[in-house]
Amino acid sequence: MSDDRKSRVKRFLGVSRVKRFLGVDVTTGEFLTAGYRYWAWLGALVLLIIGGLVAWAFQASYGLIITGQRDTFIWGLYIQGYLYFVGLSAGGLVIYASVELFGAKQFKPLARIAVLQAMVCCLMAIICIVSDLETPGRIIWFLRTPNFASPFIYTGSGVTIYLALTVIDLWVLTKVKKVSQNTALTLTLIALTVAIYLHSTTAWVLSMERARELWHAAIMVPIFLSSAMVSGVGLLILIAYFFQRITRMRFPQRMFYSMSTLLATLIAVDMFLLFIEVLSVLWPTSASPGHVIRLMLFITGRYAPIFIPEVLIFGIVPFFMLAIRKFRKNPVMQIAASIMVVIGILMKRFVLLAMGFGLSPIGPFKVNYSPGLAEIMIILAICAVGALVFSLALKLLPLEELE
Amino acid sequence: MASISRREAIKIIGVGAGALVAGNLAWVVKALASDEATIRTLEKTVWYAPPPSSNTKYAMVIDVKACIGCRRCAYACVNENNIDPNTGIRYIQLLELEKGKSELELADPYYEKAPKKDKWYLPIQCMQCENAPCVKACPVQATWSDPDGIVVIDYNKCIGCRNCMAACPYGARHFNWKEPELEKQNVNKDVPVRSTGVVEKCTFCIHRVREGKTTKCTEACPVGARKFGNLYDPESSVRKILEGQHVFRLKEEMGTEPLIYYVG
Repeated sequence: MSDDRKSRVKRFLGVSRVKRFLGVDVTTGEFLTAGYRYWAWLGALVLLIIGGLVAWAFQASYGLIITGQRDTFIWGLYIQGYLYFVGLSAGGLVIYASVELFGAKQFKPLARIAVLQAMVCCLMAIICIVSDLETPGRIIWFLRTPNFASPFIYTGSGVTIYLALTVIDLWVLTKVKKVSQNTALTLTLIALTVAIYLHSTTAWVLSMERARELWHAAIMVPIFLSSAMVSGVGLLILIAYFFQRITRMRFPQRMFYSMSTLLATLIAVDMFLLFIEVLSVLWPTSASPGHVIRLMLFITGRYAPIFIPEVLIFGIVPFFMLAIRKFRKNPVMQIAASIMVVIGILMKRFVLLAMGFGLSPIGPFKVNYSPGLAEIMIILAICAVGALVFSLALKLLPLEELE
Repeated sequence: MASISRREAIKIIGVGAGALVAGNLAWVVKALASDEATIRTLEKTVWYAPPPSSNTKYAMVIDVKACIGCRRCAYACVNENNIDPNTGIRYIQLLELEKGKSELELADPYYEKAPKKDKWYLPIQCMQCENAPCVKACPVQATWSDPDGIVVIDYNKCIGCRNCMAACPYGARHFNWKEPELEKQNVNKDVPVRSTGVVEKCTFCIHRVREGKTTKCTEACPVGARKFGNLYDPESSVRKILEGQHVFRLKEEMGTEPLIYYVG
């Protein structure tokens, strides 16, 4: 490491305990200067993870009966988490890709954090899907006798490749020796392709089921992508503000402004697609009784108390908060809108599952899903794993651009 | 008393051993050739039903005009197939519909008294589709359609992802959310007890029909609303109904080609 860089790192981090590992400057000394709040935070995360492991042990011995899932609502919080985390990882990748691909230099300071977010969320998605299986050991059959007609093969392979790819991208970005412009561009192109593959195939899990009428629509794929990007960009804005507060990292206000513009645009696209989706179910020449009776559950029926606020929280309200230029410049508005989309899209993922399971294909069987305690503990533990990776990476890896 | 020379003794043992080996080999070859009828695990092969025959296609015809909605078929099925009654799993669902209406969304699956004058009853179970969406949905090929039409599940292979349940338009598949608790004397030894974490469904009573018997629900129906038989057999009751009466299948528009037909 050059003396110049060493001194820069020292000036930046206050310590110079840096070890070169696989070409990446890993700052081990940061832990020495970490305050009690950092350790308390790590301790809380570890406690949550232990809680999740205990819940998982209960689930393994009693069966999935301890979750809220039943034959009428066969996929609950775990699959909701899978869809949500896969989506969150998208936003990170979009920001990373647009730096090289569209020359969006204003996002460059965030590129590493964006890729880290993509990686962590992808990891969380994988843990979600494994938690949903009672016999995870049998996953081996995915390799031994895959059925290529099943969308699971594609989303499963997609999420695995995507995780590997984000690890490689993060490594390339944090390496001391920078790659050439051309290599960076190629990597970005590959990453974007794999991201689109992952998000499309995840939507296929729902859209390719002709038995579930509201899922069985081609619009599921673009709407899944757009919602994914909305939540992902929202989360990235929150992480960036949070890091600005707790670390020495500083980002230009111009960058947040650009991201907010992007977020407002994505929300508009997402709302438009949702509008088309609803319209083609209800339009007189298009309406079929099975579709309408199911959709009405969300507009006037049992799920209206979730669906109507969801549209407001992920869509209408944050859109107007960010569409008006004066508001868009205001960090408070940016943060508030981001929090709203991150929560709103989480609700949207639940609604997505309820669209398939709200009314059984063979009649009005009682459906009441609410997650069980074990499910909630495991999901919290999964979030804690994500936060833990983030917290460690924050200390260990050179996440900030040293200009 | 004739004594056996050493040479002869060796010969006899040799022949015996040879026969044993050949017999075992034949069994192994048979097992490998028709692995459809087996449960495959990573370590061993377990037979759970006689192998399917290729000149058979099982089908059922349900007369909805005759059905009185008594649910005796559903209860008999629970006993026959080692289903823990407390899990709520029922291979056969009965829907009560208004006369003149057939929208399943408006049906009542929880009716208590039957039959009622102004209602009709529709039993639904696994349709043993020839073009089964569940088979296509399974990511690991743990379920497939046997040559005799029965859609079977390898309980030792099912990963429990429940994608088949999402794919089934007839709500026919059920998940074992917990380990079934059965009293020892009630266990039907011909039917494997499924463990927690796997999907199961109606098997057309595979253990009975492949031995020439009829299904338990057919046997249990007090009004003879169910007919079961081999479609390839011109003398079978199902074949005769299909040739002589107008039949319909549930959700024909899905293209699933069910092997359960309805008349009435």
